[in-house]
Amino acid sequence: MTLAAFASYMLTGLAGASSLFLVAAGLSLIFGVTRVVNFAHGSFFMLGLYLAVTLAGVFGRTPLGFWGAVVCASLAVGAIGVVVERLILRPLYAAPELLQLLATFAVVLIVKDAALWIWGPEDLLGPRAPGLSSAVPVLGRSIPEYDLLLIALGPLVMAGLWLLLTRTRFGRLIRAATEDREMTAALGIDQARLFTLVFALGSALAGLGGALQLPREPANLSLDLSIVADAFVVVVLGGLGSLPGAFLASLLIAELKAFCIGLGFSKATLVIEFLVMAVVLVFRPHGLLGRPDPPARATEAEAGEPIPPLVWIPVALALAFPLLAGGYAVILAIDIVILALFAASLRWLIGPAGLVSFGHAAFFGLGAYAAAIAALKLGWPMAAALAAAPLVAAFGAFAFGLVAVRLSGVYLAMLSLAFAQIVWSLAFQWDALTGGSNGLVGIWPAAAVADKTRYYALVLGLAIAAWLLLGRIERGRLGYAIRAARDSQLRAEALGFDVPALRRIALVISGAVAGLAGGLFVYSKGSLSPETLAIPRSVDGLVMVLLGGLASPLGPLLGAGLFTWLQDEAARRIEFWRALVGFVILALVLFAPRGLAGLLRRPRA
Amino acid sequence: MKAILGLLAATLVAGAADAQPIKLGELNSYKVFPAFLEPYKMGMELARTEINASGGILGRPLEIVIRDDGGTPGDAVRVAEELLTREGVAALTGTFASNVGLAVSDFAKQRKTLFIAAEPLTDKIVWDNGNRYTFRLRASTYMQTAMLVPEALKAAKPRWAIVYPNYEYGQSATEAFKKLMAEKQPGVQFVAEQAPALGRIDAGAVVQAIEDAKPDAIFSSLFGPDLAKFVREGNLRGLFKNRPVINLLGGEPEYLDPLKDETPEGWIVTGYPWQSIQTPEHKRFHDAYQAKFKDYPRLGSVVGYTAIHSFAAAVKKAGSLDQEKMVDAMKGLQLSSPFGPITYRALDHQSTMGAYVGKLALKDGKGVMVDWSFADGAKFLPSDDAVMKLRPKE
Amino acid sequence: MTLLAASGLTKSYGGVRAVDGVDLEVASGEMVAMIGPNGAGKSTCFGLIGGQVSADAGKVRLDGADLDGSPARRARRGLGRTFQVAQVFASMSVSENLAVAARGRDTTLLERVGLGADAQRPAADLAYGDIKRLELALALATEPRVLLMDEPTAGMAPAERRQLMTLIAGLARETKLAVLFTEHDMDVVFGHADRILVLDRGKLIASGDPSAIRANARVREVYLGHGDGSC
Repeated sequence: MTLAAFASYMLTGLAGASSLFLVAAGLSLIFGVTRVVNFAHGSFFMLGLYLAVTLAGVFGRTPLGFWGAVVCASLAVGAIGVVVERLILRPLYAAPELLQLLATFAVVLIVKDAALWIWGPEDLLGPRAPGLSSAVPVLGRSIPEYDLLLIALGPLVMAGLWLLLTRTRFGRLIRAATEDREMTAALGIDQARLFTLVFALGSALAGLGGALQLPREPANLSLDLSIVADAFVVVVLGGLGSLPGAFLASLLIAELKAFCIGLGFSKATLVIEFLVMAVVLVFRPHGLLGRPDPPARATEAEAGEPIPPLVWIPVALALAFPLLAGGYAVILAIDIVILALFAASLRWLIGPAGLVSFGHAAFFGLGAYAAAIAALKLGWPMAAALAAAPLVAAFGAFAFGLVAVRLSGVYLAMLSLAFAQIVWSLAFQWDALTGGSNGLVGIWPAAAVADKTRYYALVLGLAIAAWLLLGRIERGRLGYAIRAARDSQLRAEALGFDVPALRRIALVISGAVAGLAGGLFVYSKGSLSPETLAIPRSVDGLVMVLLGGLASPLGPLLGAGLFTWLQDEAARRIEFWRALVGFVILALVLFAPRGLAGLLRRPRA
Repeated sequence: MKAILGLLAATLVAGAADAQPIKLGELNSYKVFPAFLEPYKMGMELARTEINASGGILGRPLEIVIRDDGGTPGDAVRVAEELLTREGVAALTGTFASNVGLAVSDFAKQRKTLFIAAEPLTDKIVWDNGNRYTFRLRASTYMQTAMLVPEALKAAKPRWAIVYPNYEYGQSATEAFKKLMAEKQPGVQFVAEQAPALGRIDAGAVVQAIEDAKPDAIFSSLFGPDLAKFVREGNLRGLFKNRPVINLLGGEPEYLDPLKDETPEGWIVTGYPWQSIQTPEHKRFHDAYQAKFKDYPRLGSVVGYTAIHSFAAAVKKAGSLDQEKMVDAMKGLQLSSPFGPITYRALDHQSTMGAYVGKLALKDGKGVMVDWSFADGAKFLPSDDAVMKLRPKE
Repeated sequence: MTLLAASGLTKSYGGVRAVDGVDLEVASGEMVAMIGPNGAGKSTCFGLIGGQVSADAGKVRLDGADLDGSPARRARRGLGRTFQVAQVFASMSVSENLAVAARGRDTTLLERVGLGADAQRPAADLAYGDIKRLELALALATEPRVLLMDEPTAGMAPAERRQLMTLIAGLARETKLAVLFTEHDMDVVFGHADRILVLDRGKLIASGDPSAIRANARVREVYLGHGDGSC
């Protein structure tokens, strides 16, 4: 690579870094102060870009029109952020932290459908920036003028935020709240107002990030999730709540991508940021510039009255009904029970073990691929292939556990996401074994269970066995030890418990159950492709667990049942079904914060 | 009272016998690929209206039961099950992405149900993973690539750069292009290959890397947001100056229209020049579509429209809703489409629907296709022997 | 007989020596108090012995053998401890807490620490003094040979304090338990400790029985200031 080429990739990378930093900075601020894992941040970015396209059309192609559109779009998104914070998040600050994640996920669904409704399905490419609409030669290469502007803008915004944080009262409050939330509350600071302002600032930054992409990419409906994943990686890689860290991480990732492409490894861009994050987190469990005080605990301790036994009767009847009814009820029930098993494995990890996973689909997918490959490539009979599913997934969980148990909270959750993405990229690229992006087809059950009702009986039987086993472990000595390690690592260690080993065991058990669900899934569908272990499945798992409630083993079943049934029904009946699912989730989050299972139990006296 | 009840019962029975519709199950990723599938849905609706206005199929009206497959094979298979078991549909149509198409195709084989895969472009659905029950309408990745190869040969450039979205469609297009070019232009060199992840192209760096390889020409299979980003960065940085560019699907209104004044003039593309096709069959379709929806048709409209007519023609030919008879009827089925007559080949169940090959140009701030010609799909398929080798024995 | 011995314990945080070359010994059956003003390094010292804090230098020995490795490993060798901010299992009931700690051993510890009546209550519902008691029961449930207690009587009324410390003193004598504790309440310290160690700015400045400490001029100067032992 010549010096000129090097310089031009460097500049391209810098422009990308600025774009990335703008989005990540807002997310970092919001997380730092409010501890909200804001899934909707990408949606705010997307809204910023859509609004800017529309406004630029209205204001006309003059510099004033262009920059007016950018600024107005950013402010408008900030205002939307205020509405979201006031209406949805404020009632949830006292609730377990993951519930806020669920609420913001509902916002993602609603914003996506709203954007489709307002702007239609076609991609909208904005105009070039007036006055910055061509490229200038730099060492003999053409560099777009707008890239140079972005390169300057990133550090400028960084400097502006730094001044805001260090030189103003508002900034000092933000820093104080980032470092010690309880303390700022104790000092009599109006927290509600601070949170709203921070959310507005963070959202406006996301909107600005989106609006500034106006000349660079078309507004389209898939921006939200791809951006939010990138932003999370940057924030975690840099260290939660650290703006310089986010800046450094943006630089690192954008430059790595640019040079991957420049050196001819463009396929590596599929997973490079997750690889980098995984490596950094293994050696620096709190990111590049994060401080080693862990964020507040991700799960609240759960205690209270058990669910009344009578509740189990309708549940048992509902599970038995499809056996008699046949038809579509069986097909839907197969999906629900398999997903409930997957959700149960995730609840076991988040609940008793206190380990939040954003990448649980990895284990589901490992099981599914293990069964499919055993059946297709090795010619194993169904029973053997199904047995391979939990084993391979458990092995994957063990391997993940080797590097993961030092981490906690959001860092651990993001490492699990990185792990899942790395496994996903393997499934995506390893054509010979996994069939690449098309996946594998032709994995159907043995003749004895080919009939759907019989297959359901098999799924139900195995699921119940797995649930009983999980329940036994949870109530047994091992389960109490795992819970003890979650409640207080210090205490558990001081009593002689090997906490990392307990966490590894919890991961392996969870992974095995998720893998079994994956194996059952592949035989129920006859095929699988990399989406089996992609981010949306991990998110669906989290949504089901949280909808159902962490408190009871019944939660995952209720959550999976409601979520799957609702999607199935809504998608059939109305056009904007994603928004409907979003509104239902919001209603449940606001009115049943302890999940569906929480509704069934009396609160502690 | 008894009389009234009797009358009511008689009406109900008679009504049911009269109007018992034939149900067709259509599943697609409407929310994931709305730009293509919204017009697709309208095309289907036009076909349905036409069919029912002319007396339906076998004297029964056609009903299309539409479902969103969520864009994942797992959900698609459940939706397909629902269409079969609860709705009792006679056959399945639809799907967009290749992985979903293949999953539903294998499901159709398992359930011995006719499946007309309207849009998935993957070659595998009729070749490597082909089966008795699956037929495909669209010209495949291989076919459309083959249509562009003569144009690439005309350019007579020794050094090519290739850019494609990193998944099966882009990989197959690249593989087919390299193979066909190497056969027909010995000594051709492929000096750079860029495979950005779908929907996530880092356009600046990709353009830079292609520029660095100093190619004489570029072959691209990008589409959607990736294409728009690539075009803008390439235009800005002068990548396309004095370099022929060939872009698969680049002339489809779904991907061309968003480019507006950024449309790269002179690119050679496959697509759908709806403004200027003057054949009677297209004119009729275009006018009916315009009249019904007050909008011009996109390529998705043509695909949806033709898929529904394919099903209707197959049932008419079979004279029955029996799966085996419908499948036998599909083999070698001929019908008229807005693109002219098409045949579903008995050999591999691929339709001969063609595509338009032409150049991009700017007209009144919008992208259009000019100097186009129609490429008949039948002429761009490998030899029968080669196809037979790919397709599993039944 | 010396059970716990530490020598040359040192720990710096960002250039500040929190603990600086501390040597100490506790014999079996002995109750030793560690006192010093806030920030003197008491909790860090406990962390170094318990393994929660990694040492820059120094050695800990238990019954003549090196005590090192993770906190869990040290605990299994017979080191029990409580924390300045009491650590119990908040999601469990009091009896479940004890069952986890005792790992199947029979125990009447709940009654002995005065929580017999609260066995079925969720630990999260206890008053702070009761949480300290529960934590003590948990630490004792592993039948340790050495017990470190960080402010064991915080949050309790004076009568309760005396009661608790009497209980521990009894246990120490009965089971030959070596006890090292920190405490703010000087009545407790001077009333129950066999020996007192005084820490100031990370350094051990005095050691001796209560009367010797009371009379120590340096202690009066850096710690007690005006010489009144009751704070």
